[in-house]
Amino acid sequence: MKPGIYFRITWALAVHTWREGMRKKTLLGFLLLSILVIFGSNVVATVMPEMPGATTVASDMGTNLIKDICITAISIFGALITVYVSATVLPSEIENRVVYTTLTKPISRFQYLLGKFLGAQLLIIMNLVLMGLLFFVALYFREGVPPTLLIWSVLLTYFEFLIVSALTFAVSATASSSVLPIIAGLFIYLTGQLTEYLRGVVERASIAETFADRLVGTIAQGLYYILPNLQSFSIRTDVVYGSVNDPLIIDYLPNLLSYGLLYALAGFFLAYGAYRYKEV
Amino acid sequence: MKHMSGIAIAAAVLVLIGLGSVQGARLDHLRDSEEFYRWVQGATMQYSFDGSLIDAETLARYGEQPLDNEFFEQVIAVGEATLPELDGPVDPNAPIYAQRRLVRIVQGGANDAILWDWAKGPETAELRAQFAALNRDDLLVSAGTEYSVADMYAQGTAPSLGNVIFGFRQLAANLLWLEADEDFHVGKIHRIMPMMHTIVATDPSFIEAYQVGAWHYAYNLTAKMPDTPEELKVWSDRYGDWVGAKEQRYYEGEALLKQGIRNNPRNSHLYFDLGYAIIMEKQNDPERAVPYLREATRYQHERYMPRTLARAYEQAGRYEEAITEWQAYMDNVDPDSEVAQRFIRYAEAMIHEAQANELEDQLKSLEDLLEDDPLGPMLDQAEELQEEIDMHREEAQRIWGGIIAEHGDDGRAYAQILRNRARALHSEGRSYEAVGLLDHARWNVSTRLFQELSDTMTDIKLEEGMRLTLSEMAQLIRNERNQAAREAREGTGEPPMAQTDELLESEFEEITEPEAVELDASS
Repeated sequence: MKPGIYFRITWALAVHTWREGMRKKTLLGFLLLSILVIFGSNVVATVMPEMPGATTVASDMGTNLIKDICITAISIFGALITVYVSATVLPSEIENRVVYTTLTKPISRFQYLLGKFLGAQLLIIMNLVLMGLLFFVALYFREGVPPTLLIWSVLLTYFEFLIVSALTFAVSATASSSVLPIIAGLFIYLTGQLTEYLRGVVERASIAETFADRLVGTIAQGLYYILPNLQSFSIRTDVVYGSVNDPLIIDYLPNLLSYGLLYALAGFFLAYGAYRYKEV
Repeated sequence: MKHMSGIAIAAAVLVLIGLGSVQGARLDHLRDSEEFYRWVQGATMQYSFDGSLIDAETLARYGEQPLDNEFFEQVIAVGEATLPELDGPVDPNAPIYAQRRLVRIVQGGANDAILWDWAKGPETAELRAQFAALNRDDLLVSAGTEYSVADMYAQGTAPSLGNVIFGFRQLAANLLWLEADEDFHVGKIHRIMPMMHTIVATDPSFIEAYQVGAWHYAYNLTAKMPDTPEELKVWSDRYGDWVGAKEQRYYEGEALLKQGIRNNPRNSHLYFDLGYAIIMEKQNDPERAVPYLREATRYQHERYMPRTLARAYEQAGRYEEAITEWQAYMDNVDPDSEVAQRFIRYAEAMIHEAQANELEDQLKSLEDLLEDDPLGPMLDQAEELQEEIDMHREEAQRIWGGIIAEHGDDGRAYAQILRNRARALHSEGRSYEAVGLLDHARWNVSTRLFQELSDTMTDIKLEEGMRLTLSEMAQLIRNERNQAAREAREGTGEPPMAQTDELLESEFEEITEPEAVELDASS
């Protein structure tokens, strides 16, 4: 098959998956909830009293509150949407038997999976863009200048979700219903956020004297290096709150993007490995 | 892809995870470097003001001896050896600590990229490792807890999923802020203060909490407290100064803002509030306020900040620098600023007034000598001095008069003219007229110069043996007592009374009883 046709078919699958996802009420529910929270943050910030003394331009408590609530809302609802989309995109095809008609066509499993994965990413990106746009508009109307740093923040959040999505997708490739992948996806997200804790364990074990402690330290170190550390993406908060001259972002961005991409590829290949011999 | 074997897939997964781990290690390095970088930035700013990192107040709060100062000395030393020398001259009059390469790079924020390269580079690898170890063992009290998630566990609190995952710390800080606001409006300031400390511990980037907390300390808590007479002040190890209950509140506000500066070294509002609201307005020390106000103007700042810096220069008697600062304000911000033009004229006049005052002091010393030898060689010198004094006074009068001509009714200029006229009357022996003129000037022309005019009036009265009013006598007695107390303190050598901080604490508790606190919302 020519590469052009190969990718056109894959893209058609991705677009189909995206359209299919858009019809799901659960997904729309998540999106509406997140939009409500972001909108609500503006209302809260408007009615919030200003402490006397904090009268300077920078002392805009309302803006801080909007930022807090919106970042939190994007994190929570974005994670839920990511897990839900990535966990259901394959099993739902089995449940409604669409997969049988699709795979009987001249489409390789790799191509099928790639199309499905890309479709899931389109859904996640679309949701993130919608939430980010609302956040952007809210901040723009409040501060009067476009909060361009927010774009970086949303981009980093997406790469964090990309890892969760790919690993959840790998689990869903082994499952025939979406319950297990959803639970696994949430677990992956929580684990990814708590990987940082392993670093503390390693540090403490390094000053311990007993063999058992050192063993625990070694295991923790191994896990720390293997498991993706989603806390690394917490720089997104610094991006929003950071000062104008902060030079760190230039170093962080490429490293974080490639980090997300590598784990996402690993997750996708795991999914392919699992789905390759799956009987459908 | 169809023929990709299981082994090849497994190998691809392993390679990708391996590469991801390598990238993860690189990110860890960046994050460790960032922690170190941010600490160095905050610590250096603190150090740049008085040559020390951790003040007595912070040290006193911790039982175990923190190693911040010792470690920072190492950082400075490595910085001297490995940081690039910046272009531009080093101010030879600046204290030695302000001439350090690290300080010069950190100040102003324009060279943050150089600092970041240095903080993540191989030359600081050992320092970074040491920093991580000291931080882990809680031996760096200036590092705060805000830089990494791992530090949340180091506090000994149970890890909260909510905190870890969704960053609710800032949200919690905001909710506490709302609570504090409610308490403020019902006058429960005693409840607000611990809340402010909790807010900044929860969210160290909460600038308003530092600002408003310091404002409560320095203004609202002290609104109805009289200044402590010098003889009643006690030595505080914590603040390294002689303080009463009122002055202690100023230092507490100062400490809160300094904590804010350590955590947010690129925020102009914290420097400004410390320099202006606390040091200049409350502690009446414009000289000490200048470095903070100058730093505030180096970052993104409001228009009033450079103006306040110029005022601080003027109040500190640094008139030439005040003129330069006002000129820069006109060049960069508002070329037609009437205020700037007027203050430049004030400063020009004050240069002459200051020179005349200085010469008058010299003349007084000469006159003492002339009493013994009225026709000696000192006579010519005294006459020359008198001529110079007259010349400066005349020049000052000309400028003050010019200000009134240019800008219309100007209380300050008019009061200065009257003051000089009173001086002239006094030298002509018309002292009662001089006193009358000064009395009129202080009450009806410029209440801002009330104290200075009153002092001149008292000096004339004392010189001429005129009768003092009760308030003048009381002021004199207060001044004498304060002076005696200061001299007695200087004679005691080592500051005594380690228990005085406890004494101050008990005074604080009495003062912060809710009934005793009255708000000064206008401040």
